Amino acid sequence: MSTLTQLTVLGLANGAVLALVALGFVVIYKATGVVNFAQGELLMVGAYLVAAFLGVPGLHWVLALVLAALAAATLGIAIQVLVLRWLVGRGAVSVIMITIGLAACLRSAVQLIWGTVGQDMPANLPGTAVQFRGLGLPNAIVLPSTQLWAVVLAAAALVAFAVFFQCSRQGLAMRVVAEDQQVAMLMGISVRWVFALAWALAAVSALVGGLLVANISGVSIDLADFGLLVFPVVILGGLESIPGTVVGGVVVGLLSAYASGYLQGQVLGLSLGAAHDVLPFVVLVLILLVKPYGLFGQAQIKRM
Amino acid sequence: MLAPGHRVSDRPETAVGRRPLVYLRMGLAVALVAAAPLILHTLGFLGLVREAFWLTVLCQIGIAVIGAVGLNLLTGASGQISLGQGGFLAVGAYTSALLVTRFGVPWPVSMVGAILLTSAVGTFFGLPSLRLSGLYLAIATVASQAIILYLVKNWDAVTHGVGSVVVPRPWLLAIRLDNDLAWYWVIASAAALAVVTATNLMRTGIGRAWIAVRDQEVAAAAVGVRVGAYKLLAFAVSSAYVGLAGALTAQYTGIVTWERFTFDVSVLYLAMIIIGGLGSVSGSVYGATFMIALPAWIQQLGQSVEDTFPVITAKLPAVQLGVFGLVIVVFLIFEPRGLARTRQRINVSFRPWPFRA
Amino acid sequence: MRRLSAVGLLTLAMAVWSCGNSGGGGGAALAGPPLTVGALFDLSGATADVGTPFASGVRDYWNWKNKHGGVAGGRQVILEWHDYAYQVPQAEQFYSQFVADKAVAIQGYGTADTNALRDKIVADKVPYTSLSYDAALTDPTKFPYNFVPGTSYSDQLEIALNWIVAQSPGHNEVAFFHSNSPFGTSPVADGRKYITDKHLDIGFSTYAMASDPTALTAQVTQAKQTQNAKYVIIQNIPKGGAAVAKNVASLGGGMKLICLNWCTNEVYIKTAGDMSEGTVGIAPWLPVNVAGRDAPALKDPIASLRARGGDVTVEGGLYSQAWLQSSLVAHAIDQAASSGQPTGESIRAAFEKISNFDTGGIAVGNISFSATNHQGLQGAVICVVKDGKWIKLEGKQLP
Repeated sequence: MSTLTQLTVLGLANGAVLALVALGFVVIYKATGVVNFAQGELLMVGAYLVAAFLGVPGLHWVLALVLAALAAATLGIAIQVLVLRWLVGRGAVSVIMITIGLAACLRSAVQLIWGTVGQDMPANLPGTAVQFRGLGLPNAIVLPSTQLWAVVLAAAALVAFAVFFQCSRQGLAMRVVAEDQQVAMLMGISVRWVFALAWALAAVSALVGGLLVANISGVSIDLADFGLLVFPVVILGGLESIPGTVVGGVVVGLLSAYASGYLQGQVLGLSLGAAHDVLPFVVLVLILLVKPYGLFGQAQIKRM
Repeated sequence: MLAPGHRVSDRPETAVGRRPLVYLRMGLAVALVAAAPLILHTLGFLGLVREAFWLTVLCQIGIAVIGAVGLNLLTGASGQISLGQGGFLAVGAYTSALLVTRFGVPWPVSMVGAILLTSAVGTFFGLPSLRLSGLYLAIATVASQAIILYLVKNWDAVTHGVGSVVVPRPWLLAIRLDNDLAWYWVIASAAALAVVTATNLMRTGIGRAWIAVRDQEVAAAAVGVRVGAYKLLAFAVSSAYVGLAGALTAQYTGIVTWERFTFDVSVLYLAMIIIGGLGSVSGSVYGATFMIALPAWIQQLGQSVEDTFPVITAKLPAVQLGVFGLVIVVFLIFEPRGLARTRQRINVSFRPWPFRA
Repeated sequence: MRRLSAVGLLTLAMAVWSCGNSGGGGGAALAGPPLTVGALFDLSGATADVGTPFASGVRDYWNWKNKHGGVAGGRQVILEWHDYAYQVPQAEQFYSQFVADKAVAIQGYGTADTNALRDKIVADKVPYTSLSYDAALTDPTKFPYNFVPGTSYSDQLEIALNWIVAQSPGHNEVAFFHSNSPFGTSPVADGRKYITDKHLDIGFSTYAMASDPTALTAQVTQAKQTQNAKYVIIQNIPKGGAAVAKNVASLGGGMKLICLNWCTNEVYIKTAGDMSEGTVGIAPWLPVNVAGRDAPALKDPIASLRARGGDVTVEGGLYSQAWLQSSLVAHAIDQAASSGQPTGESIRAAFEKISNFDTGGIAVGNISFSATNHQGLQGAVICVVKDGKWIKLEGKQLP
């Protein structure tokens, strides 16, 4: 029972971070039609930026986070303005490939600047572990504050994004651009500005996700591996739906946590210890076979 | 009258005619490939290059050409985006290695076995293409890569898990294939075979059906092309090439480990065909050569400028990764149709010679 | 030349443009041409936190040796080294370069690559030391050219299990967290066999550490809650060991950590911070504090490390270990040269004659090889982290 609780909280924390990262991916896809294979690298860069700003002596941690977020937003805008602007209207392969190229550049830049050894995330969010004793269990249930913060902050960020998209003018502009770019231009919305905003939002959401993960596990190049897990999440949730990414993130996070927490040993010579890596992808394939556009996605109708 | 470069006959996949010049080009290419070791030896003798190093690189290029040609048939000609290349290479390599080490099968037979099994696995993982396209297909292939890599890393009984399968040096007739020069001839022949068959395949009805499926799937179906069958055929044929490349990797390097078959490898092959030119067999050759030779050249460059720029050798993997990314970005912005298009441009600019405008 | 193939031009241009150094520069040839020694380091891969100080030690040693008389009667040594980022394919590629450049000895690195290169090493007859203390490498019949300058991982695991049994009689649950690589799984089979053979009352579960950070937390949760393990043995480098330590601490502690040799060093203390307090270490090579600052073998390396501006309190242990292991190779080359030109085979024969090579107080004993034994050290010292430093807990233990 205690294992279940602890793994559930861990899974929710994991899922919350995945939902945040997937949110950035979905924002970019909805607004610009670009499939961003560099989302994991944005998470990693975000974590390193936060660690760098937190390392500046005398800087209050909230201010450090704000500065890091601004830096990440600038990076996102730079990617759109310097690189992706030239790829408007190109085929899917080219766009996928250029984001992969960007991912490689980001990874390389991080290695060149900060080295490869990895570091601790300096102290930021306050709090200690929450313990539940008794309840007739042999071991106390310990919920580390980093995991609890991950759930709380990610939920808050997701709510903030949802409010932004529904209620603000810029959010409305983004939704219009996602629906139909030509109509948006006719209405006087600057499509280029919306694209830049989409990338900035994605970079900031990835930064928050990076901060939360790095609090649990430290800052290192491996953080970029979260990038590939985005795909099971968005397929589960649908490439176009923000509530869907929350559902997808939670499901994938819980699945991953339970798999690594419970599975042991071998089946037919296949060791299950690393099954948590592959189970989200198996689920992805199964869903694609049944519902090609994801659980919450909209079927694409091609007009001739 | 269309300007040069825009005529139908200028597009690589539909070029017909021009036979004498095509034969001249073919002859030059064959001569270059045959003379490469000699050229290397001369340059090495003059102290300009490290012969052994570049001979190894040439062998790697040869194997990459086979894989790239296969992927280009799938992604370039048929339009099915595949990011699962690494997984299929793994199937080919492990099949060949295990057939030789576990079952004592002679290595040419193991290569045939690898080709067949990889083709079957590729067709199986190509089934989603019947329902999905574009982005969703790409994501499905990413999943197939992850699943195959998981099986490779964790099926200890079959693949030695995260360890390696060591393949003994094979014999060809009476020659033991344990040095790069012998392997160069084997690999170059295999690569030539792959290039020739792929080029001819593109000229048959199958090739044209693939192009039709890529460009106008609905119209192709309306005209009577069996879209589903041709998509699966594309996966099957492409995986056969990739299986050959994997099997050659296993036999040539003698060490089969999971690190050769990660997602980064899939990305590298996709980069090869995009930078080389989607849909063009010669583009696959250029792309494979470029993407393999570039990191090798950076390594050599790093060593020769070690005193002035020690950062290159000190952080070589990071520098190689950064250059890789930059090259992709730069090519996609400035030369989206790849090196094949660059070559076309050079050809076209030479056409009015000596009456250049 | 209307249709001169641009392909041909491009390829030729690339080949000529890349000037490579064929053979590299050497010092003045005094008693003969320079000898090449190959070295593989991990400077940017999974084990970089160990590889980086180790690499500095090896490189600085050979620079120092070249300035202090060279080897084999005055010959300079060219150290051809490459960062292979802990990737076997890269190791294989660099290995062929070493062989092409006629290296007389190679200082290898990881378990996976050393095992994978097995056939090639025998075929090319190159004596090969490694940072890998995999027990399989110590078998001269299978690995005639490999020499392990340490106590094997299997022996270390047996020492750890013995210690656990001595600490708490009765049933003990032990969680073995290991790197997800051949390095990590190296001692598992031998460990299980040891438990069965000696009828130890130990529940032994292995956890291949996930690279996904939150999955590792789940694994530690599983070890703590489901398996109820009281002892955690870590077969990983400091980064991995620190990750386990942090996870154990964040889940409330209650598990004793035991590190095998690659996280029994000062880098572990730095990476894990306060969470390293109380960790037990199995040390065939001693941390600087345990060896004592005045250990004879520390004099030259510490001076060199200070001269290059390194942090002695963090890198000192691994740096001196690298220094000493390289001096072992130099010694073997010298011995081989005394009876003619040093070749791969003669250096290997010299290795097998090494007996009681003085480790100057920084190892559990002196290094000895023989024709039937390619494991250089026997046993290990047990240390513990107290107040941010390693101190000796128990003297030399044998498996």
